[in-house]
Amino acid sequence: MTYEELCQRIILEAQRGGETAELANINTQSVVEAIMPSVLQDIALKCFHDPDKRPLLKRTHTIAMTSGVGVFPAEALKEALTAGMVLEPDDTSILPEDISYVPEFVDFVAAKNYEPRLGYFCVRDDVDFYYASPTEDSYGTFDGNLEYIGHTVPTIPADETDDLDWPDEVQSDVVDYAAEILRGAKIMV
Amino acid sequence: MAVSYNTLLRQLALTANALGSTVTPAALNLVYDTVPLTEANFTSATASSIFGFNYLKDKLLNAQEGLFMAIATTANQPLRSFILSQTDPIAYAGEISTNAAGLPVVGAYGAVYDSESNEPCTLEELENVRARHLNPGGMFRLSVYQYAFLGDHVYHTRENVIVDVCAYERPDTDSLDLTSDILIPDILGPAMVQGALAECFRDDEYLEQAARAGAIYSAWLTALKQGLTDIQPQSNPTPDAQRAYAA
Repeated sequence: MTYEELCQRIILEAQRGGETAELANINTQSVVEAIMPSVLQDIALKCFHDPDKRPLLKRTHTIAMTSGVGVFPAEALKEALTAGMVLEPDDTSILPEDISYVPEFVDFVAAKNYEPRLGYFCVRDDVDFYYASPTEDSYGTFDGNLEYIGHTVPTIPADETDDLDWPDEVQSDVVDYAAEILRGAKIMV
Repeated sequence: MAVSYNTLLRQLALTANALGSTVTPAALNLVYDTVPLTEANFTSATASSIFGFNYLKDKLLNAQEGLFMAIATTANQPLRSFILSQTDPIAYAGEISTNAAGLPVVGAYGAVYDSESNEPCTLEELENVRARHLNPGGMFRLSVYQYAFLGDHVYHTRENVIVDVCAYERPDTDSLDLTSDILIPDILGPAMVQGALAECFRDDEYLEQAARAGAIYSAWLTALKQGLTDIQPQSNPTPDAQRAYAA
């Protein structure tokens, strides 16, 4: 499905029903694009919160790390960090279950003092991604690439005729959800 | 077959008793059937001393002008299709001043089309059209076909659009080719004669006839301006119609 088709489906589904519903959706071509970023973020959060949808919208992001710090991907949900997973692609002996998310930076800094055999990651100041490898004694030393696997907001294609790279289940959810918003429902983020 | 100016001029001239050399029925028919009529048909000794050749042509053009404007200014007039023309492609915020032939645009604007694909555009709030045009942050990716009018400018979401318009330039009386077609639909030929006749009086001559013709002509104008009731409803209400519905 292309982005153009997706938006058209949303508009048509929103216009189903009686005359009042149709009249309320005259300007939907602009509105549907205006609400799309919010809709996609909400859909990604729903996938994170709903156990049945948990596998959907997980993406692998490569983060270049220098001295234990990298840039967290903008499209990855920080609200879903607890379901995130980190891998060291250059060292397959390191198990992902040995690496834990630490929500508070102060706890992340102190973690190696208590269990240095494990790895930790944390996000500070919105985008600074900190990582302490299980193979290192400190949090400020890791260099190289990491893979972060976590829930990610679907990307809006650059061109309307581009195909969506989202799972079909997500596309259907987006159509239903955006149509409901066009008909007056609130965005639930 | 289209109606020529000559067809109407001879009716007007006979009613105003302006044709010359018509002292017998045969002579009357001969002059009446002359195509095209010339000044010589109005200058013989028996011709009218009140209404001249070019005077009657002027009055016909006056009447045509009134009827043309009645149609042009009534946006949903069914007869508009007879006098519609198109503009050249117009960019965003372009002025709708002339049609593609360079004639001045008069009256209400008609449909708006994408100049490349001919897809019709939908009337939209100017604010929304402007937002699409400015496209902050490249947030709009969909191709939409929308337009808004502000004054004599058209604002739209396409690269260029073409607007259906009515364009009018008064024909020159002296060089008017009487065998050419009138600028309005054939069915308005009688109205054009009545409109011309309504102005055919001088001092206190022909006043009663002119008044009678004026009443008929006025009824035509009124009917034309009320012609919107025969139009099919639009497939989708415009934002203005939406507000009117909600009110």
